[in-house]
Amino acid sequence: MNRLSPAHACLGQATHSVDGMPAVLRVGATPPTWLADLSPLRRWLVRGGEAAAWLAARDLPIPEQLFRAHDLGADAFLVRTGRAEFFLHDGPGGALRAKLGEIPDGLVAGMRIVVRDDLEVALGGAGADRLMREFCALDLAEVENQFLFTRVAGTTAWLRVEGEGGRRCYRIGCDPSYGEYLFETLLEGVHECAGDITGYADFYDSRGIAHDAS
Amino acid sequence: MPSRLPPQPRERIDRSRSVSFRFEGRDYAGYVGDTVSSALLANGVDVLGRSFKYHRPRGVFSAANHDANALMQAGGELNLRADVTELQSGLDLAAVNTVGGLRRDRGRMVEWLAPMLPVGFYYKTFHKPRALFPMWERLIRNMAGLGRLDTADATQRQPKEHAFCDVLVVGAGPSGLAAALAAAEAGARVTLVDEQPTPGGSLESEFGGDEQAGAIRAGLLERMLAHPGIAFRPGAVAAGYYADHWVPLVTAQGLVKLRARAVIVASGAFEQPAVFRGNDLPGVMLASAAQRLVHQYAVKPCERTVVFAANPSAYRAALDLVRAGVAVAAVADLGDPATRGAPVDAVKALGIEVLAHTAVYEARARDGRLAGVELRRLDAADEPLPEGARRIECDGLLMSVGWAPAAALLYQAGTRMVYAEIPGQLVPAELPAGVFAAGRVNGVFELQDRLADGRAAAAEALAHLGIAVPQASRPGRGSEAHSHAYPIFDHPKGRNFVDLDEDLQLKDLKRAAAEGFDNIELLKRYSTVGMGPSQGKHSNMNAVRVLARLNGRSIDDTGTTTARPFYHPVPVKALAGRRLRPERRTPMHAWHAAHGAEFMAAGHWLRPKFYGPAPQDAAVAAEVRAVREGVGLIDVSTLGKIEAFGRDAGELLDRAYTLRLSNIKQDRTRYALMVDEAGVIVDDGIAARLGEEHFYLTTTTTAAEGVYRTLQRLAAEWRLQVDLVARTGQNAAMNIAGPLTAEVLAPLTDVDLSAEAFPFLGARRGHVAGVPALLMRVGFVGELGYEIHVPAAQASHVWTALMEAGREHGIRPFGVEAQRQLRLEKGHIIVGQDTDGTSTPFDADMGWAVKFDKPFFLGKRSLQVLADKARYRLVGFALPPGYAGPLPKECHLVIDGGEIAGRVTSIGASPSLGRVIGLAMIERRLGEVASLDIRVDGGAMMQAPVVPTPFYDPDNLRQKAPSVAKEAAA
Repeated sequence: MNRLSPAHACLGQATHSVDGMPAVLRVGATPPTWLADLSPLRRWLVRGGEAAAWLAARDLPIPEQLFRAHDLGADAFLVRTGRAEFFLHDGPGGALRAKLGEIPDGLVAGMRIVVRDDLEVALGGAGADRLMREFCALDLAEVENQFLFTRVAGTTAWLRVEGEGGRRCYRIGCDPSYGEYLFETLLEGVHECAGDITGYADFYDSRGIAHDAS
Repeated sequence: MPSRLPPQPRERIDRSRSVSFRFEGRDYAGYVGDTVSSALLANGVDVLGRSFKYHRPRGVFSAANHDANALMQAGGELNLRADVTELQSGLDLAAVNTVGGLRRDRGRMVEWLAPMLPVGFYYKTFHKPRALFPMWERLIRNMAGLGRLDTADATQRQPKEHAFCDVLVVGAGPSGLAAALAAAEAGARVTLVDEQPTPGGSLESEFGGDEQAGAIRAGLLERMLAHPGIAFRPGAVAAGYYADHWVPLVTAQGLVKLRARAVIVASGAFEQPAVFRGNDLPGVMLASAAQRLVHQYAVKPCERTVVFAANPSAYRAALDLVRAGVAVAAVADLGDPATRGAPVDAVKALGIEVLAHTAVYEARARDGRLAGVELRRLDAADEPLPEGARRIECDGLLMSVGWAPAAALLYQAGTRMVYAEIPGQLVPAELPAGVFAAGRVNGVFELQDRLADGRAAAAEALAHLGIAVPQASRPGRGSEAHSHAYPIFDHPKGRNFVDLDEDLQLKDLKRAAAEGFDNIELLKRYSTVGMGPSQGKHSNMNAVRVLARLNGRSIDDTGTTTARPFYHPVPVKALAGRRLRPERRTPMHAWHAAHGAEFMAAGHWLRPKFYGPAPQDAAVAAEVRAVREGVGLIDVSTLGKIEAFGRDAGELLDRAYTLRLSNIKQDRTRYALMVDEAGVIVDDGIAARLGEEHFYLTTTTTAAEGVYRTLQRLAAEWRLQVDLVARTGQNAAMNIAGPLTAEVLAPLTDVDLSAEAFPFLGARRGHVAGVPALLMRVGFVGELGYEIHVPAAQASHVWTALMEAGREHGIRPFGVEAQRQLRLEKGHIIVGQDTDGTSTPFDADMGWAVKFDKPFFLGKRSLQVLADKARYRLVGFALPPGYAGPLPKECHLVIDGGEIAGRVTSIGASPSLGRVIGLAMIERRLGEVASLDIRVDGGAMMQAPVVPTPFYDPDNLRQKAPSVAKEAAA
């Protein structure tokens, strides 16, 4: 267990391990507004002229459209973020890693694979929309399944808006150096909405997605 | 509540819910829905505050959010506007501008001094004799101000919110409601805002007694509230207009940043006062204020009133007052009542005397309140005639002599406004794209016309959005003026106020113009007209009229003052919002905090300055000694980190940096200096070659993003085949340094650390504590040292492992201050501290880092010109051991012959050398000097001997040959 979430200092009793990273797994009843730390998940940026070919050789789709999240199942997804740049996001079961094998951080055949140790959170529940209206200057009312680069609470972040039982869930990721600040700030807002942290396993259990949390 | 009326059809109050409150130490009761003003008036309290300058008693004036003389304080809440602040149980209120309370305000003595306080007196007095200025300043500061701020009160912040819509409609009066409905019914996403807590606008009060208007109101409100495409925000002031239809809404809950695709301004008009002696007395108010009190709060504003008229609204007000049981003694009309339409006949039918071409010349006071008026007939030039003057006893005087468009948003959007004789106000002549005006702000007054105008504005807005709807034609602006051209009457005894906020009388504006401030902007600044809390809503138009007449010019030629956002006062807590100050923390931040780090900001980053609990000097000295004699570890995760890869990566670096970097050997590093086009140093760092087409760069902490952007831009401009990846946050870094470094690091890594396998300036990839790492052996602090770069998520693990492994060797973490001291001992510059915004490499004695033999690099041409023109050079100085005189500080000046000849850039007490050392940037004209004359605090001079650098280990043996340092440490 040698990985740490950028939000580790904010998590309190993160006694369980998810893929080598201490995590809060379950908190009991889901708070009315909640924030889940999903930083244990794996992410990569694949960049360079051979990136598309590399993905295609691994039976991954090559999205034509920029910034549309292409669902790979079990919460894994792929987004084209540039002409020769793709964002890969694994799900909690590590399905993508299983498919691709060990993905190195470095130069691979004319492209650069960058492991992204981002802070990743899911913000949801009754107060999530209001909080996002405060923290993000984009009109998110009609955004769905898009992958956006924007600013959240003044920090550069990626954002994926997902529908969730009539309410929305916001998946937010940012550079790890801003992670603790962003988590603290979002949690302050969540607390104002009578909410709190929810667990990694709680989050995926509620969606019926299998995970490897122990 | 002696002045409370029986239930009124439009009343906002809930008579089933009583509210208790205090005002100026006395207990009162009101109802839920009351404002503070309406509740006090219902209780017979008609003096609500004191004026800003003369402390004259003031009462309800507009009852429309602009009563700047009825500002109150409730605990830590300052400047509550009594005319709109909703009554809450337990409120304990006091008027803000009194000395010793509202009733016995000692500040009213200022009025006796009025002859000595003419307009602009503060520009002309108090500066002589100079010694007395502090006394005057204290006195004025004590007298001025609105409310007492207790700095011990907790900081208040309100979260902000972003909102979006297709069409923003400002104002929920008849025009706004019609516009919102028309836009929404065509499918647009509409936001409708109104500063009042309920929709309806003038339908709620000024047309409150009109049955036909009542039916229209009911229909509009029912449709608007039921329409799913309209988001109605009551109690929201659209307080400014910014580019691209960005409108901040000020609400009780905080600021809403609303972005619209089109904006319809249906904000109505502010009723304007007449200017005559005594026009500020409690009991004198705008007719619309009286109507609000009657219809919305069921409060009888007075017992017997005179109506001062110049338009049909005045007559509707008279009728409303009669229905409320107020005796209307007379209507004094500045013009011909026959032109005012049907309401005049209704007034006359009630037996009320209507006086044509008659002005209120003076309002008379008894016990500080209105007791009666003097009416005078006007001559052909509209001047009051003394003959036949007539006095009428009354405790109320309602003014309805004109309107000014609430056009601040239109102005801010860039609208050109022109004065129109019909309807007697400024109207939009040219609107910017996507901005539309409707209703009274557009000069349209008749109710049916206002509805049509709203619908037409909506059609235009929809067309702007590309939504096809039939275009509706705009109604005309009628055939009569609704504002008198000059409702302003001079009086030899003055007290005829143009600006009640600032206590400005007619004579003040005349004097200001006579003194040469005869431009409207100058007049405003000199006299402060329009600069009070109501921001000129009731004074600017009359000031323009006064100045136009004094200059003999038209209103258009006179112009108006600039309406800047925010046009309405906004609580600071709303502007502040939540504290969002993005902060970057390294993965080891929690470790640092747990080990006593004192943090300092470096750009967005927080870095350990030193590790306590020892005081800074002692802690830094111990940290420096640990590095020089044993081993130390510093978190350098904040350094910028960039990867460049691709066929032209080396070419890019050669062109972007001053040194040649394309020929760095595999797994080697080199110093990298960047200048801008002017040849000024902007950054330095290390470049490491990790592959034939793969480089890893570090930058200074604060320049990371700038360097990355510059490299991206240059790569694009030069069409180079190179990809750049910013790794600053994704990679953490730490530097382990000191003679015992290898003892700590070797057991944790699979990299061979021997000097032969890993020479000075080498770079190796391997593992540290089981984590993939890049190690670079650099002379960071002049000792054997390795900069270790690892993935951020695993950095804490690596750091902890190093600290654990180093425990038996006395390892210490060290912070930025020790790092600075260590670097200073080596004479290493810190970009931005030892250089400034003009320093070239030649100024910093770094000509060796400039390779002119390269075909091109950024800044080359500038540096070629500057190479033999460097003005400065960097020199070292050292004070004698045991020096006890005044110490120079960074930025203290080097003086030569009485002239500034340089400055100290770095200074510190060197634990390694036992003396104070420093760097100074001095002018080259000084030549080779033995010492520097430095001016220290207090102006004293001291001499600092110049010495060569590096101060410590001048042959750099310790970093190159670790055995030397190790022997020394042993």
